[in-house]
Amino acid sequence: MEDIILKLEKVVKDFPGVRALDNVDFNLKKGEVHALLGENGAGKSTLIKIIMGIYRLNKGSIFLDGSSVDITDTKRAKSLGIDAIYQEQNLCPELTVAENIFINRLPKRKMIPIINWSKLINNSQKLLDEWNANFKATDIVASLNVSQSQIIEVIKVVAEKDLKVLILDEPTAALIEEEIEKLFDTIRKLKSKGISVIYISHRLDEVFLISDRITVLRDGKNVGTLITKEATKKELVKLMIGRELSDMYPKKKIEKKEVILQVKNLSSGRNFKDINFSLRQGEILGMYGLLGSGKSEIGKSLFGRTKINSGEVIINGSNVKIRNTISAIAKKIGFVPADRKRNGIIEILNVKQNLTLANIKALGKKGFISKKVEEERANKWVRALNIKTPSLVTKIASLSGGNQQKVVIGKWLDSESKILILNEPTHGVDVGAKVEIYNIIEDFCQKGIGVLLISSEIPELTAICDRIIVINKGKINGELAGQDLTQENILRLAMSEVKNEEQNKI
Amino acid sequence: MKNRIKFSFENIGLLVILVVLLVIFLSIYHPFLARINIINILLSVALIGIIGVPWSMLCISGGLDISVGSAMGFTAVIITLIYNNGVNLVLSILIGLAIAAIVGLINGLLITKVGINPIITTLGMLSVLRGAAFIIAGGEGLPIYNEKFRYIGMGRIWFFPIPVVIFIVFFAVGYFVLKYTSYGRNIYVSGGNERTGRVAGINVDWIRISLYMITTMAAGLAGLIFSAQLGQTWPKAGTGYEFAVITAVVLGGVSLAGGKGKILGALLGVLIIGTLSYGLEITGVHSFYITIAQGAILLIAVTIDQLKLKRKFT
Amino acid sequence: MKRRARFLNFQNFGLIIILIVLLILFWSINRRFLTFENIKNMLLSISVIGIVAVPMTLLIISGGIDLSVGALMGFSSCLVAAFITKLGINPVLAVILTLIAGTAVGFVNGLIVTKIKVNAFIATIGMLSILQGSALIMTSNKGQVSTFSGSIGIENKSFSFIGLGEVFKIPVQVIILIVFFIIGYIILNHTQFGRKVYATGASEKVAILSGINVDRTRIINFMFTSFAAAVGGIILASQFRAGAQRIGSDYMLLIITAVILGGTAFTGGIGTMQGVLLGVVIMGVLRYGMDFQGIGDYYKQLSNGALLLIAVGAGILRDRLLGFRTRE
Repeated sequence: MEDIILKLEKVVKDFPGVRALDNVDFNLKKGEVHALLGENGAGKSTLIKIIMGIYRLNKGSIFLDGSSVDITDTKRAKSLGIDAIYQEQNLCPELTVAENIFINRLPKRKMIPIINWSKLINNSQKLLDEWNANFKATDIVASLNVSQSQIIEVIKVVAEKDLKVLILDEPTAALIEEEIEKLFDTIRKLKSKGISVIYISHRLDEVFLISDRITVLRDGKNVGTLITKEATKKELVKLMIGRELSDMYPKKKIEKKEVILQVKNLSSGRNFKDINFSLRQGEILGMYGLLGSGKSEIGKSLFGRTKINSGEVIINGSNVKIRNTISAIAKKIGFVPADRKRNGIIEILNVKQNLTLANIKALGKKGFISKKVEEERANKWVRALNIKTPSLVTKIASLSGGNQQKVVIGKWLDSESKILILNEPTHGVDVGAKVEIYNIIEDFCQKGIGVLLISSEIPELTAICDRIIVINKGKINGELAGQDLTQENILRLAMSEVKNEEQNKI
Repeated sequence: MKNRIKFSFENIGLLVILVVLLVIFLSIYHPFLARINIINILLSVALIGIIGVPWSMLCISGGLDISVGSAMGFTAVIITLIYNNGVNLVLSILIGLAIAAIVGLINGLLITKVGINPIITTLGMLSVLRGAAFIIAGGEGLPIYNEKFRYIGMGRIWFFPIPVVIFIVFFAVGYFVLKYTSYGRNIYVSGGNERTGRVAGINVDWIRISLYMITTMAAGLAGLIFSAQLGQTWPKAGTGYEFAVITAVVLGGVSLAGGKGKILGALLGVLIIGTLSYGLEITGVHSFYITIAQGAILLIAVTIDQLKLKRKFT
Repeated sequence: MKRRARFLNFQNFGLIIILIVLLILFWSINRRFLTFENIKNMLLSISVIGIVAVPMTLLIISGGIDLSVGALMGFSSCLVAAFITKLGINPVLAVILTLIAGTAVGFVNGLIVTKIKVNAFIATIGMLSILQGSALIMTSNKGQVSTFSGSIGIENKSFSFIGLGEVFKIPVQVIILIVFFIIGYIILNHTQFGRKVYATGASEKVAILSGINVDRTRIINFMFTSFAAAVGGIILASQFRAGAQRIGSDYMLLIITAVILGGTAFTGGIGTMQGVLLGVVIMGVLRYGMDFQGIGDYYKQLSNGALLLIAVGAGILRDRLLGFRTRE
């Protein structure tokens, strides 16, 4: 017991309508790297937020170094020696590395309270050398890359206080091979200092390389804590997925017609390389990949949001150039974005305004808006998609997540898109609405739309997709259809390179 | 290290522009008048610089203030009025500056606590101050009688005019504060990544509020000097100074978005704008053309600033 | 259950009450405030503010702003005067040319703000200065150095009709004002462009992602605003029978305050024409009322600035109460 630094006992966290954490037990040993695995919505980020004081638990207790603690807010968490490094950079880009490390704690001279620059730079450089950084204390942060910034953040939190627990949230999402190795060196150093690391990631290869133990969360429960050396990928995948979900969504037989979209050798810098696939009318093509795999960027590039460096896009047989979103929409491509609140709906507008947003020119003649036409069109989608709203003029912000998402989908149906790209379409949507949305997608496929479904929720992909392309580190790592379309196969292709298949047998 | 070198290139570029300007203007005049001209240029520069130093700091911290020109006239009127009513000179000045500080405080509170856009706030304040200045002055001009007053504008220490000395002091203090105090470095953080600053415990709001106060006070001081030089206090003093200040500061590399800029660069910017405006006046260019020029140069300076930002993110 | 959006919201009712209070206040100080003649004069005061406030509302709703309108009014007055008096051009042609020039200024503003992405405040402040200087140059006499009171007189009957004439007893400017308001109201509430204006200001990101050309929407608004400012300048030139730089210089604050009072938010996406109409009337009544009582220019300047601050501050507090995010 003495070597456990952090212990969570029977932690419960409820949100309206859902229990995010269900009697979770979790313990973290001193100096260990403990990986936290689980699908989207399994409860990982909720657990972390409770440890960081962003949420407060409803039931249960937390023990730090043996004594019970109440983590009321982030400030309290930090003062207890718990900190986290997230995706958003927490640095000042125009200042030097040294200043960022010692932010608000710049060393002063003894006699007069002015900044001692040489001491600042020396102390920082010492730290950098200790951590084997390949940059200088006097470099400006803006001139460094993601990997280097990450190391600065680690050094910063370690130097700031007596750090006991460090949470790393998907730290390798934006890194390339060599940089990941550097990060692992840094993590090993943390271990040698007795600092414990909670490592959140989907990437099994890395988890096996760097962690000592692994805890898997599923549906808000801790379904297993394993010692990494003794675990196998197969075991982990099974834990993450659980039993095969009964087929909630009856798959309809959809007649597939011609190819409407073809993508050849599509590349975009660091995002993805050499992507090839084709999409037919009436087909639902799934795309799966881990965070940072590039799957979202592929979808975005077809909508003009991410730059395409090379390759061809062929729609209905002709080669096209998608320069920006207006050009994509003109080619009848629609895009349902992942972040609904920021990118999908305009909160202060009402339901009918949001529904007709992508096809304003159809609302009337000669540039006018006919209220009658607008209401007719809006009502059509409200009925077809079963959107629950008190009225057409209700502000969309007061609709539930699922209904808001239906409005977003309706928007593209209203603009008569022939190719619909969905990026995490059921993120934050309750189960009932999810099923409705799946049925909607299948219904409209029958009417001749081709759908590219980008998702990180495997059950939904296996439920409605005919084919699934798996993206791994920017490249296509396999295509699954028919009998091969299993959840295990999807995960396997996403988490490890094909050449590492040997390890699966362990 | 490459960033240090790039920074120098920009400043060398400015230095070159400055030297070229000086050469052009001085060559139009007889060489033996050159020394006097430099002093005059410095006087012109000093006023812009006295406001420009704290303005740069405010801008780096993420704030903006276009009411400085009106604050010049407003404060000058108040000081003159109090002084003409028999109050001791030093006390008059202190009271005037204190009032200027309160104006700055109001600006700061409206912007940080109520959340009004800084330009709209200082735009409204600009109008309030200008109107108030005229009302208090009761008309057009307010003559000043005492030599002591004049001394501030016309007197010299060695052969440096007092305003220039004040400017040099401001510059030195500004440079020192920005480089050697926590307060100064926190100014950079407030403008560079406000969220990070707050999380680290920096009181971003009060840093900005204090800078609004200092900027308005500096504007008040500049207004006083200006009036002292003229021998008369005009309520409309300082009209249009905002342009010179903003342009000088942006030219000097301070980004209007905040978080970026050096006092040294601002100094060069002030020198260039000061030289330019003085030179234009002397060579008889109509003030109307200067008005056009100041708008055009502002647009050019801001465009360059924006293009630099764009280049960084592609 | 169908529910139509209310024509006048809570804030608008508050404004109506303030308006009535103001009218009663001024009337009680001097009974002659509400005679037919004086009401007509008050309408004249309101007209120019209102004409520019209409497109300014569209501009602010779409997320932009133009601080150069006052200077453009002065510039336009000088331009049209120069055309008529110095170049002897037919007044109708002079007006058309001036309107074109004004719209072009708006186009430039729009380009600088949308394509180069310079902050709209700063860009239009710069333009303000350029317009001021140009107006001064146009109206300066040879040898005249630094006075700001240069002007170009206009002696032309047909031109004077714009500012001083009446059609069926209604002053021309009021008719132009009514036309502008009707057009503005229709645009905002019944046209596809109006929908794009709201969307662009409410969420530029989602608007772009829905295929709306936000740059073009804003540029059009800038052009419309400058066009209106040119109209305002021409009307004033006609009234004063002269073009001068200082014409319109105090209008910018009045116009922006009127728009904000009317419930338009700087953050974009919110605002109504009927609200702005109320704001315009209140500003016009205030201005005229103060003139009537003989309150000096400087008091007006002070109160204009204070009023702007109060109007904006109140708007932000209102937004906070309603739960909108007011600061990033």
